[in-house]
Amino acid sequence: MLMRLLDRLVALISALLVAGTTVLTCVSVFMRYVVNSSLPWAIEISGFLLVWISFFGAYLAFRQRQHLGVDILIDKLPERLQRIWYSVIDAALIVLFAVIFIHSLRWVRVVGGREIATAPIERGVFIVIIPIACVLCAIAVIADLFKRWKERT
Amino acid sequence: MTAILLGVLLTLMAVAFPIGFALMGTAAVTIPAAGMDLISVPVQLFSGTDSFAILAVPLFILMGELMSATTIAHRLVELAVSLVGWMRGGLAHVNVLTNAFMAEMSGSATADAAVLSKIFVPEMERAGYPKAYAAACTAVNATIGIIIPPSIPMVLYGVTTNTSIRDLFIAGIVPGIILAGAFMLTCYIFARRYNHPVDEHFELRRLKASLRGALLPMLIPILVVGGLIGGIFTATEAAGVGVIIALIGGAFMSPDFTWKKLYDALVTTARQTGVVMMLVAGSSVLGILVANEQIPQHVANGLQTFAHNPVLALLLINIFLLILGMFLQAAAAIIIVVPVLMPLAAKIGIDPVHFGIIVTLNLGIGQQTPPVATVLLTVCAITGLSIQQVMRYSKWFLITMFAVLMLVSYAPVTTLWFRHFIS
Repeated sequence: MLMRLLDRLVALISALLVAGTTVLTCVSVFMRYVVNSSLPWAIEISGFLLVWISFFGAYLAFRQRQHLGVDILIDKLPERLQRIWYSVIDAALIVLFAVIFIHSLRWVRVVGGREIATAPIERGVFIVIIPIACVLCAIAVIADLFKRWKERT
Repeated sequence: MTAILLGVLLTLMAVAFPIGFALMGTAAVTIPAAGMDLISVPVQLFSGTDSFAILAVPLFILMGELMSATTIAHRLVELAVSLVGWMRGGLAHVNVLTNAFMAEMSGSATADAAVLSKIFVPEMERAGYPKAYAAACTAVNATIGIIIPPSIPMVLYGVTTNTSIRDLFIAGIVPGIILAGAFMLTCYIFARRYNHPVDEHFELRRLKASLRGALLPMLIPILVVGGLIGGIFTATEAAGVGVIIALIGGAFMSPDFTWKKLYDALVTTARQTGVVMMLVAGSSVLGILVANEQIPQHVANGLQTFAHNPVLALLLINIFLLILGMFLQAAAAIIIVVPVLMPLAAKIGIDPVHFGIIVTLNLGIGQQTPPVATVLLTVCAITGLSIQQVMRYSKWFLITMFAVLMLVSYAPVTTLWFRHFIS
């Protein structure tokens, strides 16, 4: 139930971000050619928004098991062993996200207060996506882990 | 250090670790061993994905999604029917031509195959073609989608190798047309051999009507590709403008287009972007180590002996890429392997733009060859056919693709001439 709410929320934010960057890209073209004054911050902000789309998208992809690996070797294993193996991978992923989370917090604390190049906004507003993404992806993996073992019974 | 890096990476990949995260994991293990600070992991995750050029990828994905949500694809089919439907094996030719039209709006072979297999496979089966032949045609023809601009693999190649995306797009036009021609020839041979039906008669009136119907869809490539070649837009801006036209036009022309469909297209775009971008992010993290260790230079030096024989070297690169394409998705192959191959290609004197087209063609074939065959598997999933059934026919088309690959590899004029011509 809570997971479904989270899925909906992330999907909604992602959709708005994709729509937003599309519109922003077109508006900046329009400004350049028709109004003859460019938006200096459009390119930098669009790049940052792509980071947000990417990491929210990564969460959505985890929820649908779309992050693929090369599974031809693992496919040969009996089903029980496969399940154990994928659980090991999930555990490794959670450790990975925890490591990145810790170091990204350090990073945000150090440079988060600086302003970005083209607008009076703090960098932290954008780079905070990395720790957020770590938490979201870890949640998605944990949910997957639970589901994998519940499906069996 | 290089040994640790490769060992960890290959182990993680062999045991089905999701590829993008295998790259990050390898970096997280190797960075402390190299005496560096792990803080560079989040820094690279962010800076690797922060790119206005790569923003073209989600926008082209969105354009593909909009095409399947509206009647744009159907209008292109109708145009193709009225143009080549009268030929023997007509619908197979229509299939090729529709894919060539779609290719100017879509940058992903998987998206094209997903849209068109829903339309063509039932239609061709009804007209008396074997279902597996219809599926094979749709799967292989979708490759045209990543050769004729726009092309998502080319955007990724351009970004990873610092090659102009515009030049790559221009270079893809002629090989794309050659590929389409070669597919039509293959379809013609099939049609003769198996006596495929002549489906329609040529009618000028029908052609006029379908041209009118396809006016708006054709406006997208004219604006997008034209604007890009003319230097009016960057690839990203062209994609953004294309999406808006596709959306407005598609919404007007398709009575069953709803807000819900638009929302779903946006969410799907974000999700697929997430998959591709985790590869980009992971390789960006690993990239600092790869650069530190000068791995590409070592590879190029190790293969120095081949550099004296460019013909052989190019053949070996092609074979390597074909095998790679069987096991990796196109985006992963480009992001992981191309930076390593670039110095070697430069050494034997291959133009980076020409090399980009060679890579894209190779990986286009890779999308058709199991075990990892994204396009083939998409078509199989939609049609309910098995890989073996479709491969019975598609293997002949793979030979065609290989022939085109060889032609393009050894005749740089196919990719570079057009750029000289327009400049």
